[in-house]
Amino acid sequence: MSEPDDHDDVTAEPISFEAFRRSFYYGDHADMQFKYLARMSDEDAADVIAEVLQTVGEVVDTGDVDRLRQVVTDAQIRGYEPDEPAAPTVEDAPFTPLSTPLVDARLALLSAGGVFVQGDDPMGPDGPTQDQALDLIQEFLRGKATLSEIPADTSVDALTARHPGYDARTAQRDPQTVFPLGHLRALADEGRVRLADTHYAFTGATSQRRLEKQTAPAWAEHMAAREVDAVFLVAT
Amino acid sequence: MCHGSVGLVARALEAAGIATVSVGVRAFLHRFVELQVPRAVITPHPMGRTIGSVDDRVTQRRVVDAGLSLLEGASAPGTFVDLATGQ
Repeated sequence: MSEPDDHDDVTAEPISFEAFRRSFYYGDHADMQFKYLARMSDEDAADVIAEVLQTVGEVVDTGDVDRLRQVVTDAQIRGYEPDEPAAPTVEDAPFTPLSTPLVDARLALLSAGGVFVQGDDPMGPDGPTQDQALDLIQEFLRGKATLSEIPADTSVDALTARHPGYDARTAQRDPQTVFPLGHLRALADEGRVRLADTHYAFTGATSQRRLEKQTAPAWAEHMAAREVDAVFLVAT
Repeated sequence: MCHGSVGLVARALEAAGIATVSVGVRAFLHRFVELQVPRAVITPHPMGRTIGSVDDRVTQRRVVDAGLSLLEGASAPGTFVDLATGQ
């Protein structure tokens, strides 16, 4: 079997390994599951790619997807090792004890996973798709977060998600990966918890300073006014 | 980023008298620590599947149960439960 020899193709632009690994961060190979390759050293990124590919080869034979999931997760942990604390930093630790038994407390779900009810897009009826959102990452990071309200009786199948910071196609396939409303409803039916009438989501890729100074305190005031006693938060 | 956002929202809620539990993945545990998140469950999942994999109802339910238990049981800020280690 003969194959064309790409090395003889003088018209092809060469790509360095550094440029390749950086392209996973909102570049030509934008991939929210592997964007951290951009912040790794060449050597560490090469190790991750080789290990993932080798594991893919094994899983094709064994079907052991858990093994692949573990390799991907461990690589993310290495990829996101902090260089230094991110801003903003804090010096205190506010804490409110749960004042009543859970079964009597009004509990709301609040996810940063960009979940919303289909047909109620927080960015309007012509809001961007997941792919389009990736191109808008800088706008999201400068912008103000919008709180989507999701009624407690909303079918999980009626939910969707969009987010420029993680691969929201996962949440589109199963919203409960980041917004476990169905599980909380089941627990309410079992008498374990009492749910608020409204639950919430926003897109966590947003201006941190504005969130800290303006948006989050306003949301807290809004929920306190609705007599929410406890909130179950999900990060993505 | 999202773990930072959740940490900031959790802090605002607690300051307003609302108890919170935050669920996040191991890769961003450091952000919860930096923001002194009051109560947190850390799951051993890849980012974007914080509660569990697609259609893995058993794992998802286990994570939700762990969150509710922590909400009830924590008596001081900075109470973290790591579901990978059980610590």
